[in-house]
Amino acid sequence: MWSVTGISAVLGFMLTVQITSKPQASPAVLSSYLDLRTQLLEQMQQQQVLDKEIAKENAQLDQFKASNGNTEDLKKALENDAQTVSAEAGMMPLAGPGISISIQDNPNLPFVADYAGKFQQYSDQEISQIVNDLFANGAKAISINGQRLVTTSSIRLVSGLGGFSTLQINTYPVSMPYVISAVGNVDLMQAVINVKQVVTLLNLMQEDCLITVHPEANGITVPGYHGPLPGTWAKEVNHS
Amino acid sequence: MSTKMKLTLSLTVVSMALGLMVSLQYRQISLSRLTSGGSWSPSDTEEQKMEAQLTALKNANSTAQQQLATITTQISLYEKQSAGSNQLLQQLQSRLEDERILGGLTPVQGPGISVTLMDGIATGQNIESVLTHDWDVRSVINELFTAGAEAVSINDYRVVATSAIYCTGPVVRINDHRTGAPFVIKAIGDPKTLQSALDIQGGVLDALRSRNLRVSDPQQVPSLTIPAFTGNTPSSPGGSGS
Repeated sequence: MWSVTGISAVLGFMLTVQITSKPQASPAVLSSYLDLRTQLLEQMQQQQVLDKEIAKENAQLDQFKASNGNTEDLKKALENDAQTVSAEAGMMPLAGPGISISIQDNPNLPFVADYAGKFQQYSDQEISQIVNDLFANGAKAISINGQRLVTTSSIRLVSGLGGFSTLQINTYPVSMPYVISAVGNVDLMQAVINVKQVVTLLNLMQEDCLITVHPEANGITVPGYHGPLPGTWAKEVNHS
Repeated sequence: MSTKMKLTLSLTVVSMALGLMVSLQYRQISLSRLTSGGSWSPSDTEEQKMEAQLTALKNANSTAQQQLATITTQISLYEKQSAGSNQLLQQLQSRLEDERILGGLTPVQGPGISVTLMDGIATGQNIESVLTHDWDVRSVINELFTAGAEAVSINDYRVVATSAIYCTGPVVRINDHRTGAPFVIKAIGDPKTLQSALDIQGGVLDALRSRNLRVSDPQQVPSLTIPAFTGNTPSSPGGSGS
């Protein structure tokens, strides 16, 4: 009887030693947990976007399938498809609430040595920064002096004879005042302009910066893009 | 006492002793866990669950992207069928394909170039200047489009009009995804023109190199594949279009 007790006691001892010999949680564990959370959130957002896209494309595909070979119906489906794609690519004008930013030289503003002449030197980068901030904060469509910004758009300062530089949008030269029209979430766009102190900075560079808000339903109309289309070098990949 | 009774009694005593030892040890572990550092740390099982969830989500998203590509191919076939032999409709269909490429809605393939931007090695206090900033990446992209690039990607994220590229601390955010250096930029277009545009003396790459960023030489690539843009578009159900 005592031998059984002895053996069981040893067994119990061994068991509990095993259980307690688990390694302690290290401080690195907490940071990897946060990283996981961020990644999870991103993937979940991505999943939502993909689901929406798939639903939309399926609807278009169904319209084609429903035509059952009828030429008229197929043609209608094709035209509907063309309209959707045109709008997404930026070929169609877009009207909606938005803001308009007008930038114009003003030599009557106070001269600040560190900032003087900086806008003329870096106008493409300054405008590119403003446009980027707007797109990141609620803008759906932007045009500069009537040039719609699409995927292949460029904002470039080009120097010419006599040392003068011209701003080119989509390789079209534009002149002052530079008017940036943006359709989208007015509150978000205004907020980012304020936070980045765009007006103050431009004033330091002796540029007038006038921001007009158009909150009405069709406040601002951004024109469609009429330039050359890609497709010469890039071809769609076919997945069957 | 009978043998049976003795056995039962001794087994009872032994089991009680065993149970007492195990429970005492268990209490000690949970006490030591609570008092270690005083900070909360997630249990391993919770982290494992999240990792499993993340892997499942990544796989689901990858499958969804393939599904999307298949659907758009089918639509493309229907489009060609709808155009039939009508020349006007054929032109419409061909324009439609080009507009899709402009919008970044489908994966594309073609010749082009590839260039990599990498943070420089800081010597002393100049860390800020040797980091690759969002405006650095943006200026390279702008230069590529000026030179006629038709499709561009940064770390395999397709760049479209609304892809705002901006810094969020140590990483750059594009299309709602965080990505960090090195930035591999691929562009489809005329490889010679794109390469020479980037290689211009005093051009954008030279400007980055002068700040000691490590910029690779733009390589001509005979065939590049750039994925579709997967993000919110202005006319998607999420936002309100015209």
